[in-house]
Amino acid sequence: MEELTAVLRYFPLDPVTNPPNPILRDDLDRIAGETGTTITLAAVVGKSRTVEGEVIREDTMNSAIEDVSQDVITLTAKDEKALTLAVRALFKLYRAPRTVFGAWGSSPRGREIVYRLCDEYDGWY
Amino acid sequence: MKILGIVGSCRKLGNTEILVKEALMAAQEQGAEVDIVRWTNYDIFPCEGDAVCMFLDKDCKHKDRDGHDYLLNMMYEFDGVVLGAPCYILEVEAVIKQFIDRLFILSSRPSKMVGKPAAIIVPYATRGWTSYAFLQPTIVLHFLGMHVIDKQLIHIQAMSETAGDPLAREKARRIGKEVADAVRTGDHSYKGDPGICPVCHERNIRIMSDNQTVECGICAIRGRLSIVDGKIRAEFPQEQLKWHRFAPESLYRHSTYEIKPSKDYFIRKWPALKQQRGIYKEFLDIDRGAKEAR
Repeated sequence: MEELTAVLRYFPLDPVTNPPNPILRDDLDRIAGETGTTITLAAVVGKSRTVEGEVIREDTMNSAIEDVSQDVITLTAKDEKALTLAVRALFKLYRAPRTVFGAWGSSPRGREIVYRLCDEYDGWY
Repeated sequence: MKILGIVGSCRKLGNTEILVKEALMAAQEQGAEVDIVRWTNYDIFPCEGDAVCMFLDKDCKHKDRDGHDYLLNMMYEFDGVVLGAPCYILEVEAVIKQFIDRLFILSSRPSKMVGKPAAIIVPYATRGWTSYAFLQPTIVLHFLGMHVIDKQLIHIQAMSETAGDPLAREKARRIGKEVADAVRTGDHSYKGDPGICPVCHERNIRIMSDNQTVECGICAIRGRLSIVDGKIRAEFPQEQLKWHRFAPESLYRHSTYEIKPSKDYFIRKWPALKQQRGIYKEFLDIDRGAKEAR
């Protein structure tokens, strides 16, 4: 069976809308182990980003989605059940990405699984 | 010190107009220069969602066709606002919502009302039919970055009834004085019913689908409910209050990380979507009769 990929993109919003829990390698490893998935984490820092205290500035108007500051969680799994369990666990910790491009880069079936799980529980509604 | 009265009602010398004028009279007695505008005198066309204001930094296509740009720029000339609109079916007159929808323009032309005080007056006819009366006025003022310092529901119905109701006039006068004082002193502390949400002071709270968390739908702050001495209490973490939905830095990040990158998303999706939508183009004639109807 073709490997499934789900990409979850968390952009640097504010303390109310950021994930309620910090995205930690230990938690991702734990979920990966429990579900039989592979989970990687990458931090992207946009080229124009500046941070001064609580003020963040970044020019994203003509940026590619992948180039905007964000934490990118990439899950790969050999079956849908494993991917579903892992994404569901991540949503419980971090809530779902909020935008329509929050799963950009997922395989087609991976994206379907992500958005089906959003209907089930996205942490926003 | 200049204070603008906004009337979101068509009726000449109706209760909304009289209440706002009474408020402005009181503000004038405090030394304010006052003026008034009736939003329903102006066409405000629907936002067409083409996002050219955001993505192309252009003026709205309706800029010279309707009154939105004019009304927004008029507001910018003032230091404080008294916004009056009647409660119709659970909410205020739709002109307020029409105005809100065209505020996408703020994404490229930031509001010049940030930090200025405002108050809301809503006359209404029937108790129990005002559940969302403050919703649209609160949204429009908060989205503009204003500090809402009071809001009043005023139970009044007969034509121009306010003119003969000292209690209604007294409430309006208090609003006008409060806005004038706020402009003069810089004290924008809230004077009205504290409500449930500590930011917007509304009483409409959403119970989230986890059935544990509650949220103010306007401000997006989240907390928990408890029952203390038989009374419902909503508690929101203090650190959330300065990061509510319409706080300037929160809005900046929303625009920067959730709206602007969608330009790239749209461009990349468009070739396939343009082809896929073909079958819907041919199915039924949605716009038949539209020209004749206008």
